[in-house]
Amino acid sequence: MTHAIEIDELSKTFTVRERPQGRFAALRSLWHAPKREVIAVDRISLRIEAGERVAFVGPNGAGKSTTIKMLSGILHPTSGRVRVAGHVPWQERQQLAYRIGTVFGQRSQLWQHLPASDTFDLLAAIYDQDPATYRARRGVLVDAFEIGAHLHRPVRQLSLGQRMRCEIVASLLHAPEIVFLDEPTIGLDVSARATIRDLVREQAERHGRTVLLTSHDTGDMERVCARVIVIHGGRILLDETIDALRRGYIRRKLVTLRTVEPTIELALAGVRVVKRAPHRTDLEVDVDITPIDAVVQAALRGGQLNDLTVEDPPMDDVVQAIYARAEADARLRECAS
Amino acid sequence: MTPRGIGNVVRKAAVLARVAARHRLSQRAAAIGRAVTYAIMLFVFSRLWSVIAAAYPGTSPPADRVLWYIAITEWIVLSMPQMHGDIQDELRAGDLLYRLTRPIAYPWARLGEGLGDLVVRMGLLGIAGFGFAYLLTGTVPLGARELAWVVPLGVLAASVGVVFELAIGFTSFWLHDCRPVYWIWQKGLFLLGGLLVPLSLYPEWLRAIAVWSPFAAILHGCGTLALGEGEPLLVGLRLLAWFAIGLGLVALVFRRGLAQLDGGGG
Repeated sequence: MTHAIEIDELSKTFTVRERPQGRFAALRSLWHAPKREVIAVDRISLRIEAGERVAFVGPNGAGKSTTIKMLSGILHPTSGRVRVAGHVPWQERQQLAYRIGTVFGQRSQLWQHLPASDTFDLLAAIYDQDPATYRARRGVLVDAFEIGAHLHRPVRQLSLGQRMRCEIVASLLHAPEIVFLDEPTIGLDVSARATIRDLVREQAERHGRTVLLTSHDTGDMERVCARVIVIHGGRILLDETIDALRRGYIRRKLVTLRTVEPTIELALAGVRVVKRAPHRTDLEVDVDITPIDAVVQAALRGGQLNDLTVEDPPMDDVVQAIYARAEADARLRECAS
Repeated sequence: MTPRGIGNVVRKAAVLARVAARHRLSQRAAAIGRAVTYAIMLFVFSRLWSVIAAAYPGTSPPADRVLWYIAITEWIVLSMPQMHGDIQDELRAGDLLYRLTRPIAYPWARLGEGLGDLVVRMGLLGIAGFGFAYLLTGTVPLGARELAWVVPLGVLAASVGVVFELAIGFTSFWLHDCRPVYWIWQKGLFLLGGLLVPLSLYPEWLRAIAVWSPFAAILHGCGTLALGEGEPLLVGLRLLAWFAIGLGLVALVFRRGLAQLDGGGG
């Protein structure tokens, strides 16, 4: 397999001016403003294969956006080596532009007072698209994203979900090999979010596109991507498949028992009742202390069951646990030094 | 950049200009507002210059020519889109950086958009303003040659203004707010450009300074066609020179600004 993205020891340090404190601070800052170096990205290395769908997650200020900006050629790194679709992004930004697509959920590339079709035509010209190829591709995408009815209405009149579908189509019109998606479902309702996720995944699978998705919504990560990279403090904390993440980090399961009797009592170590209602008991099980099969056997002994479900805790909890562990490790390192 | 590369940029900028023009045409209320402001201004100045002409008979240039001079200079000033504010907003919101991922350099894309916007504004304001100037004076004091030159030179003059607007907008890379720079530029246009009073009525020493500035090239140059003083070819050459200087300035300021952003954080 070829690598769509190769990153070796990539770092980015910003120099920020600090405003001096005290009287006449603004005046003094005119000739002397103290500067401070901020490490936004700290020696990260990774490989993303062509056709992979990767979630790039981390809390605010973790270095996600800075990394994406370096990958798309917007920023120069302080050190390190990057190749995206075979190009060095900051040296070959214009050439790379033809091979990447970008969707930024909080920014629009559509002209608000014009129909989306006008922006599509404009992008086709900017990306040097052959008219026949463009028309055919646009037709396919318009059908796939079901935006035919909205294509000729001014963008400002569209709902957020409709607009986002148009934004994604706009970014795919030049058939990019790699798509950077930054918070593509932000602000959308549940149904629109699900639609966008399914469409992105389906399009990427069908055309073998590489997807690098950054999002604070773990639902995006689970539904769209197969691999997750967690970044924190500019460094990669974790790089695993979503399945491995679940297996490795989920020590707790949520068990729901629906019983014939109004209640059921289970006295097992590592099992905690989180909610109780008539004929229903929700349990949280620490599988390191008591395996799930032991809980099921105990439940069967304790009464007659109508239904039993075992679920993983929400992915949000998993990611929060990763961040918490990283922060605890950082504190330990600080204490040790 | 190769000639083919330049041709490619010009072609893409032209497409952007077309879309920007369509975008501008969809905002009718703003266009009507500007046309009304323009008409009020012309009316006020027509009254003012009538009073001056009555008080000082034989004043040169005549009042109707001065009103047409003001109609031309105001047409240029009111048509120029205030792009510095848009650029500043894009930079503050972080949108500018994301537009760098397109296969056309941001300044040239912005220039294309600005010129598209400008052409629509000039068309609408030209019809309204020149029509109103004719109603107020009952004459068109431009000869056939001047009349043929006034529109292309006016568009070129406003285009020079757009280029300098871009350069002003790019000072936002360093200044949190680029409006003070714009205000200096705007006051320069008003005073040294001779927006409301032809430079021929200025004191000699001030006129000698003003004629070498881009302000006079943008406003006074075209305005002189109404006064029967201007040489269209010379006006055009001056404007082309300032257009080239402005493009160089835009490229320089943008490159420096981007480097500054790269070091200080996006």
